[in-house]
Amino acid sequence: MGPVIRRRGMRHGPAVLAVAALFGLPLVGCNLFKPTDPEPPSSRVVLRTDYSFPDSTLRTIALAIADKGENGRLAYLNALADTTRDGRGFHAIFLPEVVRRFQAANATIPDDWNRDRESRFYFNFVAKQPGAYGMSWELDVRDPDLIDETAGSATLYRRYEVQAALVGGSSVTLALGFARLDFILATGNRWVIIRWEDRLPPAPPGDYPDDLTFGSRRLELQ
Amino acid sequence: MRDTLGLSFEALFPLADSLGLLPDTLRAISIRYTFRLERLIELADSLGVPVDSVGPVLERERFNPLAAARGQHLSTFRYSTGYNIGQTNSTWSNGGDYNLVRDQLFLRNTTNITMDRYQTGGRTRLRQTRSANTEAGWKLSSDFSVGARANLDRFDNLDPGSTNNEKEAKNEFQASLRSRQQPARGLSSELNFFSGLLDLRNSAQVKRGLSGDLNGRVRYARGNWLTHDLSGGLTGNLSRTRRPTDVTDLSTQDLSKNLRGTLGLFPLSPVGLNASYTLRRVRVESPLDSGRIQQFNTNNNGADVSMRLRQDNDRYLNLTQRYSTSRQASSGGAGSNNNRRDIGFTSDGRYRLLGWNLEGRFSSTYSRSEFPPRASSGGYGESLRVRSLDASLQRVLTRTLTAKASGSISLSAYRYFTLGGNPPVPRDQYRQSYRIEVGYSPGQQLNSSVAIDVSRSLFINIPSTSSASNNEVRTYRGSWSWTYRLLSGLTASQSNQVNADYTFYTFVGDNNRLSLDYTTRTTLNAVITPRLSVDVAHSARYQPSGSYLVQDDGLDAFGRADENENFGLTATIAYRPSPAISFSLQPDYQASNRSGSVNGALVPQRRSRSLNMSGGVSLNLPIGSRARLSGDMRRTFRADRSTTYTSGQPQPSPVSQIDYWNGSLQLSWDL
Repeated sequence: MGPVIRRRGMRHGPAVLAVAALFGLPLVGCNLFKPTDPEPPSSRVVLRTDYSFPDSTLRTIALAIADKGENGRLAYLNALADTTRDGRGFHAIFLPEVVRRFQAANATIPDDWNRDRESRFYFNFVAKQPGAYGMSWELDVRDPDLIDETAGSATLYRRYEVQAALVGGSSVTLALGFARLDFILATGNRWVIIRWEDRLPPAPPGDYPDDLTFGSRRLELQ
Repeated sequence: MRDTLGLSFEALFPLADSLGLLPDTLRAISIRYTFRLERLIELADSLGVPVDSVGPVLERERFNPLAAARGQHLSTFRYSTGYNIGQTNSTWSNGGDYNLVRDQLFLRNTTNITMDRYQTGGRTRLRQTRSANTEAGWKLSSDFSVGARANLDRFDNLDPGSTNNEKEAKNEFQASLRSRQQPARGLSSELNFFSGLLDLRNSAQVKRGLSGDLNGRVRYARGNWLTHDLSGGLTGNLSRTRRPTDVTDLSTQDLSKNLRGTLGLFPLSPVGLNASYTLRRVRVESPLDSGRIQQFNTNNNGADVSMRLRQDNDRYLNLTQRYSTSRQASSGGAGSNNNRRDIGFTSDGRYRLLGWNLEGRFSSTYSRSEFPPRASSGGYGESLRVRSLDASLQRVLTRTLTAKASGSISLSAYRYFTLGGNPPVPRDQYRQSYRIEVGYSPGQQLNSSVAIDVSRSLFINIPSTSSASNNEVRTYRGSWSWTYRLLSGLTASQSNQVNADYTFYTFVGDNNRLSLDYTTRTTLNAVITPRLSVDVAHSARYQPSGSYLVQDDGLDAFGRADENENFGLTATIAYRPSPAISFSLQPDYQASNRSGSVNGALVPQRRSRSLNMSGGVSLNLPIGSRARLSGDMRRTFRADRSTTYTSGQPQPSPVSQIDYWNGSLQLSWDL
């Protein structure tokens, strides 16, 4: 039996070594997975975030928009589901009228608006106006919220508005619209958004032009 | 699916594995075209196409005049209608396909109409999409035909009282030439040419002119060792274009070029090679005000090369190299320009040896993107490097015990460079995890498994202006699940999970947090008769969270800030009197309580109770020998009430009740 076993092991040996080398080499030496050492902070101020409830997450998004800085961007992104961390990803859905308008102008419509695109959108959106930003969320009374805390899922219907201050004390509306927001309860008991779907407004549509929706701003500033 | 569509998915996972597809994708293709898995594989082999192309190729060939035999008499008509209804919207779609062949003459028509209705604020918005494609011609030989076709498309979005209604009308009238060639053994090709008149009107432009479309395919197969498929096309138009409010026409030219190919070498051998490539160039011109023309250019290129080393389904290694570029440019300014380049390497494999199963996957990708100015602050570029490694080791220890250990590690590094503005902050994201799982299955009556997961995630901003937000999340998860067959037709199962998530701020420890999660779910599944089944499930979840700070004694302590308690009771009753119809009823009750900390004591913040009742019918009903009605329709009732607490005083909200129809039905009829 001894020689037979040795011959069988020798037959598989080269293949096992090749597979082990292919997957083992990236782990040893090479520092392929070593993150960079950061610089010590110049300020210890951290944006107070709260994702413990869907409405808390929306308040945190409002604070993040108002911050306009890197802390705000991180807080904003942490309100969106991250595939590697939470098992689900963030996706934004546009109004068909908005897609048609951008297609008629030969703009590119991404197949999937995900978290990476939203990260770049935040940066471009807060840079659109130099003044202070303020964001508000209100209930959309057409549909009730559906929150299933046992299953860890929620659907909220909200009206959103972002205003930017102008020189002289006036302000300009940067975003205005209605959205259906789907949440999941992710790692660390954080309610994060997996889907942001713009909705048609209830009032006379002249009060809510679709070029002010977040979807329209996303396509404009991609 | 087995009960209503006649589909089953035995051997789904090994089949998907051997085809290189996700099991979900293979299952979705089978359902979409109602083909059994074996039939899908047979068709893919005979057509010489990948499994995910079988459906589109069959649809295309069904109305290809050259596919019909010469001298054939054929009249087919297919009509389908579908109705989808939701809480505030409904969609009615209709489609008809007509195909007529009389010796050398052919006529075909495909028409689709979709109407969406949205009810909001007492008003009804209507959205319509309509298309009709008609082609008639003469087959001069079995490999050559001439004809004419008309493609009509309409889109309307009507909102009473709105000034932003969208409309689009597009008409194309073209002459058609279709041909097939077989110039050599193993070599077949197809070349088609369409040319004619274009008329397009929408909110942005009025465009009229000449259009042309040249497309073709070439396939070469040599024995069992070589296949090469190549397809491509040229589409363009020469038009006079203007904005709807202008009176002066401008001369515009649009051109689209694309080429796709797949090369396979030794697909049935232990060592095989597969390469695919795409080239796409698009130029579109649109009118602006003041007589100017804006030009949009899009270039996309890509290539994948894969080497496959395969002994059997349990012993293989795949190595793949990818390269792609994407560029968008507009003459209207740098604000809409984007450039992107991606390079990636992936290796995945499996090896089974002496009872051990080893699986692994390694991936390294580099992406570079440039975003010219979008705002007054300027633009920036981003480079992203992502590396990941996943591996698992599994072994059957004894007849009743199996063990599996898996681990993963990944690093994403974001770096930015300026293009005249202020770029975002460079950062790294790191994650590592491992999982150990042991399964116990002494027989068909009982199986149980225990698992532990540990993961660590780092979010690192590099510059000092933002490194205060750097944090590390450590997650520890333990789970135990079991299933026991109490009686024939009665099975009990339970899953229990304990989670702990620690969030540490590297430089600002005052913000450290701990979140705990205890979940248990118990289910009873009962098959009362072959046609009647009942499932009942109870779930409970407890989630305290709060700060996790170092105390005076130097030890970390949990300071509870809030907690959630959630309970649920759900039942599903399903009755299937025949394979064509089934009924279901689903009551569901949920209760949740949320408390927060005030001056160190927990006080209630919110209580909510909800009851959902949903009942409906699923159909897969043949009507005569030529029609079928399928789909499902449900009535849903929901009632909920919540109470919020302000300064300890309850503020109950009124009971909210809604009920509505939802579902979709499709009727298809073949003549």
